[in-house]
Amino acid sequence: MPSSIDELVNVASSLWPSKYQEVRPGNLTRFIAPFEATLGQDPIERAPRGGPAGGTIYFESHNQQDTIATFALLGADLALTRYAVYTQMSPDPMVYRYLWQIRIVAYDALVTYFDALTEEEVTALHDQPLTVGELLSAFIKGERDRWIDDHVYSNALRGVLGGDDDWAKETLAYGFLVESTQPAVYRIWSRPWLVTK
Amino acid sequence: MATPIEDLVTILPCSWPGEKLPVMPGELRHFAPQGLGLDVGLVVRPWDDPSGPSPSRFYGLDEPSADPFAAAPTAEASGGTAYFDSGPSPEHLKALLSLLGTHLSLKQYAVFMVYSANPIRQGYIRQMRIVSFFALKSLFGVDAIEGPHQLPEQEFDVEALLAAFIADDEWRWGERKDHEEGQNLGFGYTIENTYQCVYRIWSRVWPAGVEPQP
Repeated sequence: MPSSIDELVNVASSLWPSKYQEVRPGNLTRFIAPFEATLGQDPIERAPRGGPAGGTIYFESHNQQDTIATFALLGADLALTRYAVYTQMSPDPMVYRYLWQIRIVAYDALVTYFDALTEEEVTALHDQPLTVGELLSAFIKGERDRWIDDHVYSNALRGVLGGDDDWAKETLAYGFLVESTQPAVYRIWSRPWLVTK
Repeated sequence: MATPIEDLVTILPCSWPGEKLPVMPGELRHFAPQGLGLDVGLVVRPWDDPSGPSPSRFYGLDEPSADPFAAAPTAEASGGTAYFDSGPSPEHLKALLSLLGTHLSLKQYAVFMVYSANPIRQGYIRQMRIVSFFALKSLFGVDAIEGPHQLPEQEFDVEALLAAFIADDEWRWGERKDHEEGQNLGFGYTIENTYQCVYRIWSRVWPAGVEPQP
């Protein structure tokens, strides 16, 4: 089982809430605009127009303090505890370019963005036992423990990104996306990358 | 008053080096792709299938993508784009730049700058591209170390330059009287190419339109 996250927070089914929605919050193939792929690649055009912060970053996390500081600079509400969590394992890391991802959706976003719950229904939901900052740190550590087995390379990831185990060997990195700062919708994922000679 | 960027580094004209290249380093409408971008010859080892893929494929450029997963560099851990408010602390700024893989102590780089005629519509007030000498030669085909287009090493490293850009634009924004009530200054920063050291920073206005919808 990949996820000790399941033991740390309440992970929602991809079909929750059951009310019909055009785009479900648990549908992790979709992004909140302006991160939908149809909107182009220009990072200047893709900036959040309503606020100062956001973005998509790729990183190794050798320094947890820097990592958390960067999440905060990107507008992540690290103290948030009222959020839903959705997870998805990649069916094919070579094609989809991630290993495992989680989406963090503030309860408020289930009302305003997704029209999936009413404000009364959201009021009845429980706080998560971890803050967003603690959850992101737990994800990073959990994935490192799972995949990195010889300090640098990952035998478990051998070949998943087309590496030949000679000129190019797979190891682990991460991606983090602020889909929305207010209300909060974040995505973090583990990903393979190739260390070359 | 912050020190203007122009007093810290030489800003090259967008037409530099003065001759037509397939892609001009001062052409800021386009972004460089990720990837090592090394011109490695065909590699075939004795045990390879001659009709199979060559290891040289690991050293090329990545295909750009708008998908946040597919846009990650394949041969680098770090990269990406960050948007942030004005007034970042030096510690937070350094954490961001480091985490995204910025070569902070680099001094062998060229600088290009463009000002927007319409900051709301174009999404930036001014933008600055930092291109390492390595990238000038490897990606754009201009040798800035030797020959007729030789450039001097910069006095300020990349970390100091990026911090100065932010401080300069914060000061300029405070002096400007033409922005509307409620409009604020923010910044964007993107790693165009991690390995080759090509970076872009820009100042921008927010809010600049309607809120994004799902």
